[in-house]
Amino acid sequence: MMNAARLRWVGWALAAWACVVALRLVQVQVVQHRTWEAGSARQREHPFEVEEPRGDIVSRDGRILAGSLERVAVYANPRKIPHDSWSSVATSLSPLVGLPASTIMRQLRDHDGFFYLAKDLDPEIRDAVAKLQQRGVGTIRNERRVYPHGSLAGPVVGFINAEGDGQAGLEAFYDRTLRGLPSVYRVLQDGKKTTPTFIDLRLESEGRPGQSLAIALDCRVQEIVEQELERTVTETGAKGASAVVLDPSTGELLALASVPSYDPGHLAQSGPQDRHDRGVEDALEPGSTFKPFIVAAAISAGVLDPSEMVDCSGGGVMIANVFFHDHARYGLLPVREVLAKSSNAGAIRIAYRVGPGQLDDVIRRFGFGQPTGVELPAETRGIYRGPQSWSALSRAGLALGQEISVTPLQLAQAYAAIANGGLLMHPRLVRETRDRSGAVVTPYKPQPGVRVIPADVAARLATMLEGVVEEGTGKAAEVPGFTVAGKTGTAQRAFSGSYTAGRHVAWFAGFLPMPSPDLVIVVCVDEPVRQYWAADVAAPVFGRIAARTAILLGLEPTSGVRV
Amino acid sequence: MKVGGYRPRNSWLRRQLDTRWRAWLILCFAGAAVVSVLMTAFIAPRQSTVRMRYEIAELQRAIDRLEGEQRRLLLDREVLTSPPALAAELDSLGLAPLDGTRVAHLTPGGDLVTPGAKPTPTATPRRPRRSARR
Repeated sequence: MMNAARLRWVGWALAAWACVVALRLVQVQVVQHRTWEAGSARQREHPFEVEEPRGDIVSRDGRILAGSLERVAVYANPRKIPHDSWSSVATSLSPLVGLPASTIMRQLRDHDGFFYLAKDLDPEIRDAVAKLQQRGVGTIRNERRVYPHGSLAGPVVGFINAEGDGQAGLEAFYDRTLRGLPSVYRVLQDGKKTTPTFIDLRLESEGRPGQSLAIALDCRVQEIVEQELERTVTETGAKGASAVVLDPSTGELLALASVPSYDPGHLAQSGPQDRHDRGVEDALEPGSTFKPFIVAAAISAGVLDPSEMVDCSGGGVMIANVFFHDHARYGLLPVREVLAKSSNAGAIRIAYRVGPGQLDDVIRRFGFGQPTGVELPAETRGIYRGPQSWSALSRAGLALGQEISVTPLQLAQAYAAIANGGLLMHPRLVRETRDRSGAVVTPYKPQPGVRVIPADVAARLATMLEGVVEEGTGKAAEVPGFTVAGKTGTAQRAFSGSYTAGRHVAWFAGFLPMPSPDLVIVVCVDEPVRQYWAADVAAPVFGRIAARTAILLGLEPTSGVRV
Repeated sequence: MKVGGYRPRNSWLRRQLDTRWRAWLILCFAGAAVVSVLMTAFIAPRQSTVRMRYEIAELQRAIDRLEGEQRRLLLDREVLTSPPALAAELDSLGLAPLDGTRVAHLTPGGDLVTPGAKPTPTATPRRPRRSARR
């Protein structure tokens, strides 16, 4: 009896134990199935990423401004190479990596672990290294970014760092688009966390090659602009110069040049001061190029009749006990001539007719004091303080293009609004993105324009600006065969709150061909030495750029001399 | 006392030769042949698939190599034909930069316009002297 009872207890105990084991098995294999499987995979599998090729940057005329080439790097790990085979490894690798065997031997001795023997090699080297079947020696795929046009549009294109991250220009702004997504693979590894073979390669997530950017910049126009700016900098001894060429109806930038520039493929040859894009980063006082906006504000507010005569006070005007000189003793001038002769007194008298709020509203509508939104990461917003910070002299300062700093691109955007019948189009660089096959992925359509001034005011203003080139300070900007409208501006450079003698900025902003302009061009020459008046420095550059660009693009002339 | 083991002797048995071995052998061969045929029929298409996959992989590699080469050549061409490179080589190429003074164009009216050219003097009709006196 006793034995039977004991046996029963033992039986129950065994049954209970079996139940516990069974339940635990269910818990491990059914309930926690995913957790344990993932843990197991982590132990025996090793994920690795393969970068997809970076997209190109292609100009409007189909030129590749930035592209990538597949390259390989050969590495070695002396710890994994048996010491007695170092010599044979060095001899085999020598012709492949282009280094003497003795150098490879020295490197193997000097390094304790993984190191790169050679980088930037042809992809064919990969197969040759694989054929050696030598543990501790292998290849890694990488890319070399190539900038075939050197410094042409360098600040716009930008550059990438050694890790392939965009650092400046479009390379930085569109880094994620250009880079694409890497493919993720899983491969079996052994207990020592090494990968004996790549036989059991499993694709975990498929990558996406980087998209190419089709940009609005035209290499030929860009080259013309850069040539002319370099010539000007050489001739005038200027610190630098920049220019913007854009299509006023779409806001597309045909050229955005900055001199001095840099070659993104050879960064070491340029200094940090060369690597900023003056067109979007330099905020400078616009001088008299700002006068048309004062006139626009006055006409829009109904306080100025475009056909009326303005009293230019015979040589200057006194505001809050400060006398503002004029270039000459002008008496009564029509508004058109106030602009053509760039009369300071006339512009100041017009500015004081407009209320601070109305003036501020028009200035802000033209986009001053805020970034244009162009796809460049370093763009500045310029400097513009609203009426709450104005003094009694502020409107006079604004009439002369002081108390405000603008970038050449902001000024081009504002002049484009005048050229476009009062509709402001935000400047843009990228027209569309394309995949590897060239199919359009994202087309960027121009956003509808924002009306900043009535169309009739814009038309009157544009006609007045024709006078500046025909008979005023901008005669040097004339283009044979085309009617040009524009405005000169010479501003003193301000440092630490005061103007410095002998340091100027020469501007010319204009558009052609009138009456329906296709091009807006802004030229800014920073600190010219030999001559500094915009009429002598910036206007001729505008004329040369406009003439060459008009011929290149086949613009229809508005006038000419018949043979 | 020594106990000896009993060991039956069956030398009196005479085993008859089984003459069916040939049939068994033939049957085995036939079975093997059938299995071989079946396996060949099953494996052969797969083998050709595997072979084709290898060939595709080889061709893909060749395509990748050629595409890489094409891309390298494309970028080389870009370098050689870039506007700054051409501008630097204008003299050696026998070219001259284009500016407004060297281009004539037709107006929509069909007139040839040469920027910078002066009108020909014969284009203006001279007034008769007699009428001028009047």
